Amino acid sequence: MSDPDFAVRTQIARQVAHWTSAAMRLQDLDDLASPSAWNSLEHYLGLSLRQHLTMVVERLKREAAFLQAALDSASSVADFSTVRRQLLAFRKRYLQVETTLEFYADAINTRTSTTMAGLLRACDTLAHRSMAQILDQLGKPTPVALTYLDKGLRASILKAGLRLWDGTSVNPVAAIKITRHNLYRPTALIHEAGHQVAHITGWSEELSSALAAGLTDAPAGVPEAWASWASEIAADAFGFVHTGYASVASLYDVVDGGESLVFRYLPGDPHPISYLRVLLGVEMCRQFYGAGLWDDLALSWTQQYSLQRVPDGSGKLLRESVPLLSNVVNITLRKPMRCFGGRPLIALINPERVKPETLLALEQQLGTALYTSMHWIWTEALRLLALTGLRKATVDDRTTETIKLQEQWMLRLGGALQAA
Amino acid sequence: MKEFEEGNYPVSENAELSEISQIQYEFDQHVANVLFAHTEVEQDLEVSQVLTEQQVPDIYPMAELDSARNRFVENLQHLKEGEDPTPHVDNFIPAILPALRVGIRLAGRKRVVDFLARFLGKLIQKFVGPQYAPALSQAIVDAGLRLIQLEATSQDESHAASSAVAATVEETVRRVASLLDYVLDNQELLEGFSLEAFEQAASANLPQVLPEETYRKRPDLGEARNLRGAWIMMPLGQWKRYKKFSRKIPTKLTPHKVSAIETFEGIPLEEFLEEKLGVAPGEEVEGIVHLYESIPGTHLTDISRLEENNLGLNTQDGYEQLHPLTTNAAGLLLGEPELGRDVDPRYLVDPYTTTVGQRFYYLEIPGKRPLMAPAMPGRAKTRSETKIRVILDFPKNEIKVRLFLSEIRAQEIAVKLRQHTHIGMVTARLQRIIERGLCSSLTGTNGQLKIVHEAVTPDQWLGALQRLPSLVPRILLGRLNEWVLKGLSDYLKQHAEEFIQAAADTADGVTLGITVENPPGFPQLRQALKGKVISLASLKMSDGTPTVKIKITPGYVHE
Repeated sequence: MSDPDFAVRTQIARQVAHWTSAAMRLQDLDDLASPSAWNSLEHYLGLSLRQHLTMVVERLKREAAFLQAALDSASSVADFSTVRRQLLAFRKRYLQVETTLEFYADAINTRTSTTMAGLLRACDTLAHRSMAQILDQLGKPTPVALTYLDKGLRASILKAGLRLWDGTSVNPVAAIKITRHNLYRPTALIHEAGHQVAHITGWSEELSSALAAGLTDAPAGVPEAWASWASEIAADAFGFVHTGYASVASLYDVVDGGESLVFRYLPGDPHPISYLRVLLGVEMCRQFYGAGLWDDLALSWTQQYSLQRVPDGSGKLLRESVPLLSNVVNITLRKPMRCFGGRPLIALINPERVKPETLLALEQQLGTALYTSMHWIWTEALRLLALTGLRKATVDDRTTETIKLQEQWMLRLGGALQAA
Repeated sequence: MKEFEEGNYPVSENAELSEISQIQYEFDQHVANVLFAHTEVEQDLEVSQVLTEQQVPDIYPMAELDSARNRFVENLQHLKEGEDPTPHVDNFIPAILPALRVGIRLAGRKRVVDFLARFLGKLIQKFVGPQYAPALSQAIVDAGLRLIQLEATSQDESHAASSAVAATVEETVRRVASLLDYVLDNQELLEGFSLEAFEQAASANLPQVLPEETYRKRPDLGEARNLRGAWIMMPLGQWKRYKKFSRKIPTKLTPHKVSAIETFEGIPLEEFLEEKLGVAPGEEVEGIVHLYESIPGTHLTDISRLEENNLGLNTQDGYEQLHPLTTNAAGLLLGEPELGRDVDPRYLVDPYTTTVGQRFYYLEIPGKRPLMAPAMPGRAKTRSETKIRVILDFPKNEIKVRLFLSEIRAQEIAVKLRQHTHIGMVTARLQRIIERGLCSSLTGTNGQLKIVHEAVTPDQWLGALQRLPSLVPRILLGRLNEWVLKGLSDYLKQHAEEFIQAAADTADGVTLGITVENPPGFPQLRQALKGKVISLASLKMSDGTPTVKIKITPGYVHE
């Protein structure tokens, strides 16, 4: 019969060899995503990601070397017991690093064709531009954006600066998921970019306090609920100042999921009740643009979702919240904020620039060049998003034509970035 | 690192090929590069590289200079206490000369070469060997070696010191080789001028190692008054392709500054920044200046390709972001005019034709990246800048002006036309561009002029008009300016929609092909260029008005 200590040592040594060799294999980033997928990233983005992932893997390799050294120097049973513990910890670390790498690999690999790569590069630019417009004014650096395509209804963001699965590294880019149904109307990107801006500036926390303080006349519990929704309200406001009515129409389509969802109130959910969220967007339009298309949208919304049919759970909160919408918009968009250097959001990004009349005048002034000239596509990318979003929100027989137009200018914008 | 270098520089293998096969190899290489160049710009680059290489001894493989330089640096590093470096200098100089355009002048003067070897061997003794090299290494480290090479070992420091001495020797030889014959032939003058050449080379290549007092008394011994840096041979491996200043210098780019600096083709930096990087006119931005210097064999594409850690420069077409560091540019951007180098105007024509010792800078502007335009599917190219080309076609009795308006300029004008702005105001905006472009073309320093004439060969295009009485080019410039502007004004009045449509095309910018037919005085100018004596009165070019035809095409159009 074999020596049990020897048997354990042998198995530990074998496992150390297995996991360290697995760690070594992670270093080839081209195994993670195809070279063509890497090349589809914009130069700076590709380099930032490669540098970051290389650093993550290098750190794991150093830990592997440390584990191997511990194994090589182990001689006693106690030593091997220590190595065993280190091995288990290393295994966990490996899986964490692998999760980090797989996240980016999956994101990059959604650039499956030249067209998809071009569209997603355009999305990267739109998201980055929306953040830079405000962060530049505040003297804060803007993170690079990596957008990727996924199924589902809602977009999401893995914010730059957050700690990643591997537990040691920090996400170097704002990784934004765009859903397939919204690829040609990606106003949700801007909402997600708003979350990143709020994270960098501390806007959500300040807005939360401002809402709690500004709604004190409301019945008990209502100000607290609105304060808890501050992060999503901030992101919605960010989407509105950049893309105007298009962001509201887009939101309508995403949250219009039937009464059970529209009236649902989940304490702790940072999203306002969908019924209120849409009406809040409409109120933003009304306050800044007066009467318009959004009035019909609101009418349709309230017709479909009558407050008389609200379940008891959220009915009271909804009814007590509707009269507050005007004040919420006022606080969110017009109240000076410390995080904005004592200025209100609208002083940093003026929603008048995406007022429907202004957008149509821009189109009138520049003609087809607005959609074909790289000068205008580059300088007016966000307003183009607002304009094409507006066109799609206007029910007419030109939707297909508008989508085609949107695809073409986005491809031009995406094609205008250098490959990595 | 070694693998990378070997992969990128097949020249070391080529050195072993026979001379003929090497020529064949290089020819094939150039043809292949031209054929497979992705864009017109890349094709231009290849052709220019071939033309440039023809100006230097083109069959001399740079690998030989690389090897000789490496041997020299290594020998300096291993000098023993008190050992004379002269024999190593003696071996190094013959390897430098073939790589220099003017090297042939020394190659035939053995007396001068022998003198230089002894002279330089003696002068560099104070910087090499176990006694002195450590001080130089330390000075290079202090001057910012680690800003370039983060993990520099003591071996790297020692190598950098010897490399700086080698660069000093190379530059001294280059300066001496360009001295006039009467200096080279007179021993006393040669000694005096050689000492001056060494001092200048040392001030450029060695960090400030002398006591502060010395530099106060002799400011010419230090290149920069306030910037303490060193020029490091790059890349850090075996083969050197350019020099880099160890420090990056922050600068504020005010509208006043950038309007007073010219880049290649005489384009104001202000215009370059607007058209290529999207810096709005009047916008004040912070920039970081990176400095480079060419050595034998340098192409600006090498600098952008090898600057791997410089994200803004290490991109496709990144070399277009390099500008000539003239004394004017260095003075305005860095407050250190001595760091600039003024070169023959032909090296300011474009980024493809440069000379050894010429200096360049790259402006890193946080948040600004080159503006791009889509090229082939999945590819992009940097947007082109506004430019003018002039062809004086005497056999056809016409002048062709090709005015390319960048995308920004084209849209600026299209918007004005759509708004029905007064044509005078539209033309006034164009006037500044045309006046500057025509002036730059006809003064003949920027390669924008082509002359089709029986007595003027292509190599004479640059100076043909300058050989005429100075009044003649001035009159031509004035008249051409007038004809073109009037023609454009009429065209925009009658064909505004045509311009708007061309500008709305997806191509980058628009080209206006302007043909001035039967310009008055042109036949007389033709005679004058043949060397015939013509009365100035007949060259006034004022008898009548020529026909001006204009054709607009989206994008950049070659002839």
